[in-house]
Amino acid sequence: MEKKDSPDILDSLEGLQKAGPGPFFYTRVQARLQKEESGIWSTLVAYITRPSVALATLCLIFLLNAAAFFYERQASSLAADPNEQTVNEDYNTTLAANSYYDENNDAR
Amino acid sequence: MVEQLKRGDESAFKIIVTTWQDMVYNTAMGILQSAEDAEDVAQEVFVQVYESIHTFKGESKLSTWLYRITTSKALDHIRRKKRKKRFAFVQHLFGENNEVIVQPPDFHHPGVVLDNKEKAAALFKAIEKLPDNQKIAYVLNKVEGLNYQEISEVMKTTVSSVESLLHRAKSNLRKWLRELYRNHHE
Repeated sequence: MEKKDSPDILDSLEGLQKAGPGPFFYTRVQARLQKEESGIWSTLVAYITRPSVALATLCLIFLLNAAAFFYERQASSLAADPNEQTVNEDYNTTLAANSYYDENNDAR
Repeated sequence: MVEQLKRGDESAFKIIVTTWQDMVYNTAMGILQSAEDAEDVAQEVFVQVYESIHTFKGESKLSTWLYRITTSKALDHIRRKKRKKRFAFVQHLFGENNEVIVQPPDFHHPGVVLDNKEKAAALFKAIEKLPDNQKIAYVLNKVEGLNYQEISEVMKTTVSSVESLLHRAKSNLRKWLRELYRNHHE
């Protein structure tokens, strides 16, 4: 390397020709775009098929089913209550009627 | 053209790529000092243009927007490379990675005049050491030939800030190049 002052070196980019990419650059950009697009799907598929994710999903489905089952059972047992109440009401009415009858008999 | 691309016209995208590919590649090359990395970043830039063209409001010129994407992608690329290099070095220290860490050879820009080849390689070596903002301003000025006004638009700053950045860049480069020559002749 010759001894040169730094200002001389600072001027070494004078007349610089612009560099460009190799031929078929657009084709490579298109390939990159397609790779990025398919990359999103393959990442998603890879994530879904991971054993831990699959197992967690199965557990979630099982829990939801169990919850739905217990909710249904609870709802059906609650649905039986209004009938009981009706019977009680009927029973009370009967009692009331009896007592009215008894009262009338006593009066005689 | 931009409106056509926003409507999903593939031919408009092809025209944009072929029109601006040299500008994007040359800027990336000036910052990254590697043909392979410049190609990689230039592709990334156009992928981003395709994906985020709807965010381009037309408040600045398309070239200004492209310069902004290119410079930020190039700086990200350098950071990623440095992280990888540090990781490889740590692995090397712990004996997990037996690959020999090699220093990259001097960078020779293909557009440099033959007589200046050696001097330009030394200058690029010094440019590499500049802080990010000074490096961007210097490359846009010397490698891309942009004037202060254009650089200020790309860097979203004032013309006086660009003048100051370039002044500091030149004084740093002078200092380092002087040291380089002093060491070389000792």
